[in-house]
Amino acid sequence: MRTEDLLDRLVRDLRPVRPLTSTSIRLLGWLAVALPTLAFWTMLFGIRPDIEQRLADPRFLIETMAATATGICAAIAAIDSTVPGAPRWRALLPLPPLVLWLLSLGEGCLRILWEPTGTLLEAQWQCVSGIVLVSAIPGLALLFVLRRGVLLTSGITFCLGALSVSALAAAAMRLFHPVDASLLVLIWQFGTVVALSALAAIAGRRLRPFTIR
Amino acid sequence: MAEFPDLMKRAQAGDARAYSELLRQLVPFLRAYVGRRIGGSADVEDVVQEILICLHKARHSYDPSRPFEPWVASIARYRVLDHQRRARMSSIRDLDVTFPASGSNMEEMIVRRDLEHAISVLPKGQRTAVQLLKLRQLTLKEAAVISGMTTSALKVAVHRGLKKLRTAFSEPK
Repeated sequence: MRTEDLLDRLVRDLRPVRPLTSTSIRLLGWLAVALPTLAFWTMLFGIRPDIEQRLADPRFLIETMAATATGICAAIAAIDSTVPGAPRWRALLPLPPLVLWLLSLGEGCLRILWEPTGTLLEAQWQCVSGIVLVSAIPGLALLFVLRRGVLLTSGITFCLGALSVSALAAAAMRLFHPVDASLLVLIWQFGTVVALSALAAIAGRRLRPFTIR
Repeated sequence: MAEFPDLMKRAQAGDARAYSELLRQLVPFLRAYVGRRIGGSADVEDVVQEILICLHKARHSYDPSRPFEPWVASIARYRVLDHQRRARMSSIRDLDVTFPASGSNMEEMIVRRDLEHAISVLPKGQRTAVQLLKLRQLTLKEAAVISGMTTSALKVAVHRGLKKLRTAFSEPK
């Protein structure tokens, strides 16, 4: 087919479209679903009894806030990645809070080396299942928001999306799941977040779901 | 001459005249861009057409308050990379075909010539469907836009076309 003929067809096929809403509006729309869902799971499992004590611990606060910031920054980056022409450096937005989160956990691990408790490496599969469970509805809501945009780099978009929902789920779990040993949190919570993000990146890159073709 | 962002804004509202002007102004830029990226091969026009279809489908994602060029460039870059990826996959498949026996390149040339001939004598609809869906590996939606056929008509046509090709190649010569 000649390009001229294609142009005629495209012009004939033209229908009015509703322009994509801004990243901030789409983010707020997603948070309006994600935050109540996280609050629901926190209430359902029950806030941990020692929460007042934990909130007085600066390390706990830094870890939880860094995980929350990672989740929100990753959501911004994921949504932005579905807007063609958006600056590509925005994909790195979640990196600073992610590094802060990792450093705070690493610092805790180093401190624990001086005061071993003997329960450091016990399996915490409920962290994995908890993060997957708590991430499910925010994940579906984010998928809905992302599909409204244009998926060009589905590997990056899916990786950032999974990082966002799993980091927020990990932050919520800190409020109801009483696991505080940094090494356990590092392996079972941070590890789950990294594993889910990597899986999403691979799946997105290989399957390229919803990409525009 | 109106600016690209203004034309695109009007196109988003359904102004066909603005859209036509926009696309026609874009085509030379796209040809030059694609030519630079894929080395002036015969596929340039195909890739330009794929970019145009992509721009058409993604037109809702342009924000008129932002620069137009990065928006087009990111879609064009994605389409070129996709084309290069498919070309790499295709060359890997070709290697499998030509390696096993000596002289197979000659055999492949003969098969290719016979195949091209067999496709050229198919009825027009079937020929178009086979060329777009099987040779250019476009999706049904893309092929529908280019050919003007419905996706279900394309499915039927490609099925019938392939059946005829199979019959033609299974008959003893």
